[in-house]
Amino acid sequence: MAFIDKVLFHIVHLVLWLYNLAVRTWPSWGKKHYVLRSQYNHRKRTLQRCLDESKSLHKIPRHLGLVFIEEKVSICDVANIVVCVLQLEFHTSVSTIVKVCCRNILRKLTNLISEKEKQLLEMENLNFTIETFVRKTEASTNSHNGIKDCSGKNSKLCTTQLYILEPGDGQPTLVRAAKQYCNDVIQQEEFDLNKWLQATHSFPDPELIFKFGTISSLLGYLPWQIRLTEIISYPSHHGFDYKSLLDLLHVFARTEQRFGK
Amino acid sequence: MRQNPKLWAHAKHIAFIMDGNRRYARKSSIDRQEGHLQGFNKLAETLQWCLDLGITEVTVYAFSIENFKRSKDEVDGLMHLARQKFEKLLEEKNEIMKHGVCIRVLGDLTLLPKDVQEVVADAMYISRNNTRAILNVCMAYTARHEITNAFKEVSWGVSKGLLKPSDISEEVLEKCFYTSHSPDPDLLIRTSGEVRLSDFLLWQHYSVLAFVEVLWPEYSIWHFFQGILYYQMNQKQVQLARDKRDALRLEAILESDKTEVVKMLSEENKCPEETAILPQRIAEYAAQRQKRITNFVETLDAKRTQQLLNMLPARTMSEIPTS
Repeated sequence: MAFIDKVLFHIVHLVLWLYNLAVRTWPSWGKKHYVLRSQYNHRKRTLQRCLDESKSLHKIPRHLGLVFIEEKVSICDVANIVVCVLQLEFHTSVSTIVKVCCRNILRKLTNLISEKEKQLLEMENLNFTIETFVRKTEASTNSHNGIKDCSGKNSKLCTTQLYILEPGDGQPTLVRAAKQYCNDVIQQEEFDLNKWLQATHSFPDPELIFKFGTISSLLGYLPWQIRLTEIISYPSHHGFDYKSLLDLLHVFARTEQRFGK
Repeated sequence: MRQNPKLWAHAKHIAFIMDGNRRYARKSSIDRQEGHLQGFNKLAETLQWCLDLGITEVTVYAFSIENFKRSKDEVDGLMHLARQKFEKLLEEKNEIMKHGVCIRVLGDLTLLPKDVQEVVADAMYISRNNTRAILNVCMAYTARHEITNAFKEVSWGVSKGLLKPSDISEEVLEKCFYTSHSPDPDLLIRTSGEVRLSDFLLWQHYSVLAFVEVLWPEYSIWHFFQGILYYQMNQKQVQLARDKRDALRLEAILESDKTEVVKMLSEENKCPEETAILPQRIAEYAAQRQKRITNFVETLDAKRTQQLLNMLPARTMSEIPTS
């Protein structure tokens, strides 16, 4: 009997595995069809059109988190997505699990974004801020140093901020907060963790996360801030376009939160 | 099925967000309380599936602190259900002991009504030494509350002189969590099609997330198998990420030890760069730090056991032999 159970278990396992494989690969088939279709529907993207489209969404996240959990992360594709997102005016944070030099990413992204902005958008310059948090050595007084880099000239918009996070910005930030808390308690000062994190990261909690990649986990992305965050997965960030972004934002706009009630 | 195939990675700890009882009740035109009851029955069924597959630890999100915002009727109904089920569990005390089931209720228990506190504490106390199967029930729990509480515990440790602020690390905070006795869940399953964590195990989210479309009372063994398979497909990469996280943690601790020793040496007016004894001093400091942390954790555990004993009803207290 035990043998039959085991065989049955293996068969069930195999069937489910094949089913899962089909489900996982399906979105990419759908996407290919879409790419073909969209070539006929191409319209020039103007600033006005982007703003109209963002207004048509009845709910827009104030802060969108982009999490890339893939073996190969293409800075060029990330820049493409960021440019798409920048048009819709909200905070964005980008996190990858690939340990890369933050400054490198920052420089490359800044250059790529300005380039793509001109190439792809064919519209007035957008203004955006890129911030990254680079931990300094213990000898320095501040544990964080925000690097700001403004791009774009004479622009009318100055609303979107882009934060680049690295693995040390999740749980280790809370450890630093705990140390600070203990010091403040010793000094009998009031300590508000939310305020402390706001001062450190200066962004609101992300309301939406786009997780790129087939691995279904957030792997330590901002543990304190994702209490109510909607997590939407997409198989890969390669070739993710403006239309896909709008589709996912429409999915988000349909969600309803009850806040425990 | 008890023999899980060795070919596949095998989840040891699963967490559930049992969402959709009320929607199920609306859909099936039954009373809301009946929906919650069916949700409970589904939990009992799911626990059996877990045991059959050799999954020895399960954590469920039964009642969030935010759920106290619901109507008084519903909150009272849920508390009544909890009390009833825990009382039934206590009646079957011999079965629990025979199967070695450990029940832990995680959260701020002081927020629960007194009678619920008593049965919960009773169940926790009698099963505390069991290890064969562990059921963690999160009641009056939110992850933010858990993290904030851990902050208070470490600051208590610092104010009592048990810890130094520089001793605080991820591991120390984890020892202060309600979930301190459990490893991170391997798989987190949420039903009802919602794709958020709703303040559940936020710190512990180095785990595979599986969002299922069905409502909790409709959750079937096929959905469960699907979740297990999902875990098996993702497990390797998640484990790699956990290993990287652990390496980073270790690096940070070594760095912090070195900084502290350098600070101490400069206070002693010795130039750290010229001191040949630096590695030895760092090793000594690390041993002292570890000792402080062990002492702190023991004191904290004793404090928590005392809190649990204070919650116990008089009838159980009278049975405890005084040492």
